[in-house]
This record gives sequence, C-alpha cells and structure tokens, in this order.
Amino acid sequence: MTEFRIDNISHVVIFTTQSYLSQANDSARKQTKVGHKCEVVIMPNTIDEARQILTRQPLGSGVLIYGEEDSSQVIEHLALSAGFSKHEIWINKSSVDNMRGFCSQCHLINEISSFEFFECENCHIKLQPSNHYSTYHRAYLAYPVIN
Amino acid sequence: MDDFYEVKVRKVEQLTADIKRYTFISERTELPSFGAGSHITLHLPMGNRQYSLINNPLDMENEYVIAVKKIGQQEGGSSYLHEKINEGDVVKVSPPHNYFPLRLEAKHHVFFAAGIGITPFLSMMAYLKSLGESFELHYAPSSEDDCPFYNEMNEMYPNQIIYYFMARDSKKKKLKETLKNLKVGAHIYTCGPQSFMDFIVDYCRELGYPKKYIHEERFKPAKVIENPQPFEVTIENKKKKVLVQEDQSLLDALHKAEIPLAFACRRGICGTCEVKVCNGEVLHNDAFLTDDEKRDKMLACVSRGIDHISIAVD
Repeated sequence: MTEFRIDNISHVVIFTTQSYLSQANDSARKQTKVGHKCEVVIMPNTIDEARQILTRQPLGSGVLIYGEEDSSQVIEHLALSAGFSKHEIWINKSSVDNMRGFCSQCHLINEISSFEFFECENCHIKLQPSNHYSTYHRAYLAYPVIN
Repeated sequence: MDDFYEVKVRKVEQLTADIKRYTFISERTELPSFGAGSHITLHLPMGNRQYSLINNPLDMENEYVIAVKKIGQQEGGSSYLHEKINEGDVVKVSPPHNYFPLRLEAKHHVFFAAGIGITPFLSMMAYLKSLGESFELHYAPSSEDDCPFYNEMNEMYPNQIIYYFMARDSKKKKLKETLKNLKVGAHIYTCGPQSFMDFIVDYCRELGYPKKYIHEERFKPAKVIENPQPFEVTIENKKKKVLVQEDQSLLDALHKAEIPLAFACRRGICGTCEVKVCNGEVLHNDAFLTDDEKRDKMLACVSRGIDHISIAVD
C-alpha cells in the first residue's frame, strides 16, 4: 500500500466509513505521533456537510480518505473543488488490485496490479503505466512499449 | 534582447506627497497586452528600472499606467521620473513581463502589501473583480496621507480591503492573526519593502504553509552578496574557461566570452538563466531555486561561485 506523503502538510483530515474506522484511527495515531494535527470524520451524509468540513481546513492541509470507491470519489472531487491539490489528497486502497491503467491507444481502462508492464485487454498492445494520474478517469496513463 | 517602444506621457498625477501616477500611450503602434501582475521596464539615463503596471489588463486601451514613489538619491530612477518627466515627454519602455502572475487555480487570493508594494495588486484586483473572483487585500501604508489610491480602492472594493494604520507591533500581531486563519484554497501574495515580505513569508513557513501557496514580488534579489570576489568558471560542455570579475555577473562573463545563455529579469527571479553546477561551491542569491535545486543549479545573473566552479550550459 502506498504511504501517504505528508512532507509539507501539518494538518490532516481523515474521512472514513464505519467499516474502515479502525484503520483510519491507526493512521490518525501515526500522524499525531509525528506532530501533525489530525481530525477523523465519519463520512458525512450530505455533500454540503462534506464540503463545509473541507473548506474550513487550514491552508496546507491534507485529506486522507478511507472508504468504498464511490464515496471516496465524491470526497476527492469535493476536496479538489475546495482547493486541495491532487498531491494533498490520498485515497486508501485496501489492496493494489483496483489500480487502473488508461490505454493511450484505445482508451480502455484496464485493472492492473502494479506499475509493471501490462497488456491492454482490448487492443493487446504492451503498455507501461506512467506516473501521470487522471483524477477524472481515476487511472494512470499507460504508454505503448516500443520493441 | 527585448524590443522597446517609444511611449508618450499622456498624464502625470500627484497622488501623495511622494507618489505620482504616469499614463503612457503610443500614438504609433499597438502596445502589447499584459497579464495582471506584470511590469514594464523603463529605459532611463541612469539604467533600466522596472515598475508594475497598475491598470486593469481587461480594460487596457493602448496605455500603460504605473505609480512611482520618489525614493533614495537624486540620481535614482524615481527622482528622475518625478523631476524630469512631464506630460508630453517620450520615454522608452520594454514590453511587459510577468514574474508575479495570479494563480488561477486559487479559490481565494489574499494580498499583503506595504507602501508602494500595492502597485501589482491594483491590476490584479481590477482583473479579479472583472472575473468575479474572490480576493482580499491587507494593506499597510505608513499613514492615511501616504496611502495612494485610498479613495479609489475604497470605492471599487468596499468590502475587500483591510488597512493596517497602526504601530508596528500591533500591525505584526494583526497580520499574524490573519495569516493564521487562512483556509484551504487560498493563495498568498506579498509585495512591499523587503522586511515586510520577509515577515510575511517567514511567518507562513512557521505556520507550515507549503511554498507553492506563497508568492512574492521582489524587484531586487533576495539577498545582496557583500564584497563580491572574482571567481573562475569552467564550462564543461563547451571546453572553455572564463574569469568572472568582482564587478561582473556570471551571465555577463559568459556573454562576453560569446557563450550564449538566455536571460530575462537579471534579478534572480525568473529562472531563465539557470545553469547546471557540476562542481564547486556557490553563493546563491536568487529568489527562484528551491533548496533542493540549489544543490546542482545556479542562476547566472545573481549567484556567484567561490574560487573555482564547473558548470554546464545548454
């Protein structure tokens, strides 16, 4: 699992669903130990409530999201529109199975398990995932491997 | 090298005891448009001087407007403008450059200005108001009488300006309070005397605000190298050596040796004249490179080597 990078972040708000609460609390304890302020929030019921929580965060905060894909995506989009940069938002993935690679040839989004080469399920071209991540497609852009 | 335009002084207005506003027009040619936060360079007998444009880029009608505070010695650029330049005169200006642009990804722009450092924010605020974007100005002039644009700004931005007419300690306390309460989505911009900008930037760092949200307009390098010494430079990929004299910049020495290197601001702000440092110790004097970048890069316009350094230029 990728570690949340908090080099330039002094305050972290953690959104979590009930089912991930213990992981979120563990993470909060870790952040607090290294001197960061942490706030754990149970995934709000309404978008307005989530937006209010995000917009009241101090400048330079980070967002950690523990939850299922749909709710995580909503919080991520709200955080981006509140002014967080994509480098300040981290979505917990309980495994790397749901990483996605965007085929630059046919645009199919493939499920991938690592940043290793993979073959596109549609056009069968060999692809290398790049570090360019699309928040819109929630996938890493993958380029064809020549030779 | 920049082209320049001959512009005519259409209007000179005395705004405060020591600040004048100059409006330049061209009757011959269409002046280039500019972005909020841009400056122009005036070619004056004592050298080139940069001044922020203060008009709204969206309302520009072939004119550049600047405000100049008379400071320093008689032979300075501001004194020359105040005393020698009158309506109808012609001056040479380089086209606008912008090293202090607005960050359009910001949800809220927060400006901190002191003294004549208000000037870049005048074009920015006018521009943001035209677009309906959110901003606020925190302005610390020395007194109400010394506050240029006081009535104009109050009329245009009645709810967006906070003035700091108070003693230095109270001013600092109030500025800290404001900075402490900034929320996500804000970008901070500061312009004014060096001590004021240092105070804002240092406190932002103390609060842990990432550098990418803090923007400064410096018309001078961040520091001044006292008693500069000559140094020798090996340009590894050109197989050449140059000696940089104590009164010369590395950029000038390279140009003199006919080694081309692009440049723009000459003040350690824009990063155009960046070179790779392969070996040796460098006295960095720019406001552009990060600490990480300073390990193997330098700006040739303001930074200097110690004794002997090796560099590579593109």
